[in-house]
Amino acid sequence: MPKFIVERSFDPPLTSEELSATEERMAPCLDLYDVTWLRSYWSTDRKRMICEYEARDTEAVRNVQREAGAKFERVWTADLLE
Amino acid sequence: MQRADENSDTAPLRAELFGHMRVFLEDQQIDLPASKKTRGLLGYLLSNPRTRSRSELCDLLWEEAEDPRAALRWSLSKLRTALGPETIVANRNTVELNTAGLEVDVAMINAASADVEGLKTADLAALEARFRGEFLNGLELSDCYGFYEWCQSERSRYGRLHAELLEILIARTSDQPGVALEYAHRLVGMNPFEEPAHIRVVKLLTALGRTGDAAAQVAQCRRIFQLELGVEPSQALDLACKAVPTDVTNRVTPYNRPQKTGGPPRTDSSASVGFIGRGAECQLIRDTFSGSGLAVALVVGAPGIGKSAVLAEIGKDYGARRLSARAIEVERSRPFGIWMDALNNLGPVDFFSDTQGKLRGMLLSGIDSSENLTEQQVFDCFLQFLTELSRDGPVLIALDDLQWMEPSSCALLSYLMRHLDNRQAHFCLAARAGEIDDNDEVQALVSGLGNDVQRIALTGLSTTEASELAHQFGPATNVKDIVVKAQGNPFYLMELSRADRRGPTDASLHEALANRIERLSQPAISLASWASVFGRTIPIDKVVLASGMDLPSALGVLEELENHEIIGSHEPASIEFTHDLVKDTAYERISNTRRRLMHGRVADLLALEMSSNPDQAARVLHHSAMSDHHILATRAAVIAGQNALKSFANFEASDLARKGLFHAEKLNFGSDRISLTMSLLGVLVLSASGISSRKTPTLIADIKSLISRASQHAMAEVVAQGEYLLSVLYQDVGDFEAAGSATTRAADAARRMDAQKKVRQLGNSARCLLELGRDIPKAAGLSRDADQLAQQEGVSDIEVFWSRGLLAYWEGDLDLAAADIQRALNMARDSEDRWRESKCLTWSAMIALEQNLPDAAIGYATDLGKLAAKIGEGAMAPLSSAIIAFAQRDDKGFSDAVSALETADDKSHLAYFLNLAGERQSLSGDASRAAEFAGKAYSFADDVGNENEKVFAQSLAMMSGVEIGSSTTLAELDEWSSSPKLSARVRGAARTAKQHHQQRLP
Repeated sequence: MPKFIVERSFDPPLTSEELSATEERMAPCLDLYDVTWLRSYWSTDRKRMICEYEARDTEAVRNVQREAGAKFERVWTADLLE
Repeated sequence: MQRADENSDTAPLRAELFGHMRVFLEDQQIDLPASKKTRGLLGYLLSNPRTRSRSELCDLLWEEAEDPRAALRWSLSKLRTALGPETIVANRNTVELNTAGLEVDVAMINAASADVEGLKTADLAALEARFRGEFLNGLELSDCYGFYEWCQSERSRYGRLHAELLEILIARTSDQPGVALEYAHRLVGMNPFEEPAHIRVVKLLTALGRTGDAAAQVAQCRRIFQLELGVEPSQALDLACKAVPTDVTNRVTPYNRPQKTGGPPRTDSSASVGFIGRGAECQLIRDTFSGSGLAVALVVGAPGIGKSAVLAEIGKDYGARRLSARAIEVERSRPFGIWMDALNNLGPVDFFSDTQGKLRGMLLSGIDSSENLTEQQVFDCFLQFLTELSRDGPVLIALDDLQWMEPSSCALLSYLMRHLDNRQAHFCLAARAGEIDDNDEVQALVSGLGNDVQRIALTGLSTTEASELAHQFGPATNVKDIVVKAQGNPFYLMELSRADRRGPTDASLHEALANRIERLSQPAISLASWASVFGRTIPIDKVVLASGMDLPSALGVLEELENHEIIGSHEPASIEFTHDLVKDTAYERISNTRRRLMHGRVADLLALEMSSNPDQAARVLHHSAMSDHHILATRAAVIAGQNALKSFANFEASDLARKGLFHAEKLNFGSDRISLTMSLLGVLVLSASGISSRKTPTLIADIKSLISRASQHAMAEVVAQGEYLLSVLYQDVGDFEAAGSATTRAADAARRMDAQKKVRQLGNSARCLLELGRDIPKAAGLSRDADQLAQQEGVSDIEVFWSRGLLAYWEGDLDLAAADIQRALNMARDSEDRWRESKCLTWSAMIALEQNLPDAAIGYATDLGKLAAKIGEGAMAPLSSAIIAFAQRDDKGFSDAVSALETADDKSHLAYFLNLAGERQSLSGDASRAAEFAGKAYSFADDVGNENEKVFAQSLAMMSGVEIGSSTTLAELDEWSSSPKLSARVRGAARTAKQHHQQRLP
């Protein structure tokens, strides 16, 4: 399954409460669109975030974000380098 | 100065709109009407002389006036008087300027702007010189929002053009650093936040060997960036700085401009000047007050003519029994502002401090021990206070700058005039001649007084008085010339006397003031600029905080400003500009870009105490409006409007609400905008005075629409608030049945919002499943449940109509599908839900294609394309192109759109459109191409597990005589033909393939 990165930025910074609310809205959408959340990195100033997902295509990842009302700048498919 | 009708009507007119607007008739400057709106109207007409409808001009400048067309007529008559009867050509519907012989600077600039690179350097320099200052400086009319928006956009446009001219001039004069430096300085002045502009100045100064000045420029750039942008300049400034010797850089501090020593020492000229002249006028006022009738005197005259001085002179007769204040231009939405200030200026009066405190509380927020306080009680309390204060003799009520007084203060003044006799109160009022006409309420009050008011028109001092005054100002060398030039205006006289001490001057009053400010040290100019953004009276702590100066430095700078009589101390914690004209000059020298940023900073500072001190909210609204900070402006308008309602200032409340609604419209549609807009509509409804029966239907429609949006966001409290407002409006128009229903709905809002949430959840689940083609029976059940619940509870939701439409599509009823999705689309548009709008547009276009309605499909797809840019990245733009190309049978366009869809990686839609294209090829008999499309469609559908498109592709391939995926059997085709898991379109394709297969069997 391809991997996708979602880039987000927040001004003012995202609060923990807002993050929890978005997560709650997103959970059912992930199942429906067959998208799997893998991990996220949240900058310490709470102004930026990148999230990693697995999905069948990019549009499914975008749809999940928009269904859940989650802000994002761009989505791109990625290879993992370790 | 002259009036146009003194000359021929056809004489050529020349107008300059940059800087302070000036109009010349045969090189003689014309006296323009004092009314700012009238001058604004002239500026608007001159900026683009073409036919304008009267309604356009009314909307622009008199939107809220009681009779906008009458106000326009009045202004046009003033313009005709000033410019000549033939200058304005008007009929019942339109107005335009007679352009014969008209020469306007903006027209020349616009004509040349098409090819500025092609101009010779000398012509370019001449064109640049026409930018004498900001476009229509001082005439932005921040209270007329339509005009303000236009003016700001013109300023931005001309600002960009001016910057372009300066860039070219700097480049062309690079071999003459002295000349280029002039232009480079101007560029920095226009936009001090452009780092490259500062760097260019530094380099030019260095090239000229002025390393000290270069270092000062570096320091100034750093300070501006740190204080006003909160960032450090980039490394490029440091690199430019390397050209400046380090010892020089270190020696110059931000507050130390070596070339400016702070100017001449304080002369205390105005402080030591006695009151000269005006004997007849003062006597007339005293006679008026000693008569038996109403004791009201109104002093009118031009700015600087000495009105305030007359008021102060009369005030001396009354000792502590004097209530005095001035109205403030930018605080015309602050209820009872002038009376609040008058009470504060009075200080505690021994025996009446309780009443004073009570009055302040009432005026501030309507808070008092009494629960049902009325406007009448506030007025009566004021009346009682003044009656008590007048026990030992009449009280002087001295109100200055009446042209800016707000309606609630005007109503109180009128009330006091009617209820206090001349043994109790003497009213000494002052206003700028002409500008009073811009204020409907004050104008009506003064007109209503008729002969009961003694009008005193202040004109210039006599030559003898002016000479005496000039001598008092200091040892001027050329008193005679100064007196002639000042035309008896004492303030102008003072400025010219100051200038004369530094050498001969022929400056206008504005130029003299500007020169005085320019001679201050840089930190003093900076602090004066910040103070001018605040207004005339400024709290010291706030202005110091806004300027970013540390306190010790600020104290030194304040002392310099006091020494130069730019400001004076006001109350213990405030400073005040010595004259409004000084404040205006300090403000007008700030670039437009910087003004916005500074107003924004002041708004943020004042907003900190807006909740605890609602009196600040009107100020926050002004500053946030000036900085285009729409969310803060909207919030401030809500607080200020609600505060005005509590203070019974209904006119101000409705005015504040309208301003707030203007800003609210600029916000994205979300819960903030919905709840703030409802609060503002609440202020508008409850202020009542702002609503005419003519506007009630519109207001009801607005509130209903907002209730619908609030319902979509499940905002129960906002819905309840909206229904309550509807009940108030219905009662007002006598529809008691509708009022009763609205009241019931308000009480029921919370329960309905719970139902709304459930409806949305059900509809959303159904719609998602249908969209993905998964578990269709479950989706159908959920969709029907959502629909039933919505009908039971009387709520509606996008997701319900959308899921209903998709279900109809799945079942093959394309007409019903199109109708339901259209309703969902309308709701998405209504609530500005861009993503749902784009999805519904995509579905509508796809259904239209399947209905063989190419024009309708193109219409939806075109809207989708426009929306794509607003939504951000995604497949919307290539989808739009694919739909349009398919509908137009544009093979190349379609191929390009499919490639773009692949880049956007939307595999489900790729499969759908490739199948659609394959079907078309199949119908036209090109089996090979059909199979090719089907193969690609199958591959994309398989990638994302889209069974619907996979089956369609397999059926299509079968008809083309090829097989894709696993081998397709007749039994499978038979099963697909009636499978509820597949859409009607796919079932139909499977049936066709089955028939085709059967026909081919032996």
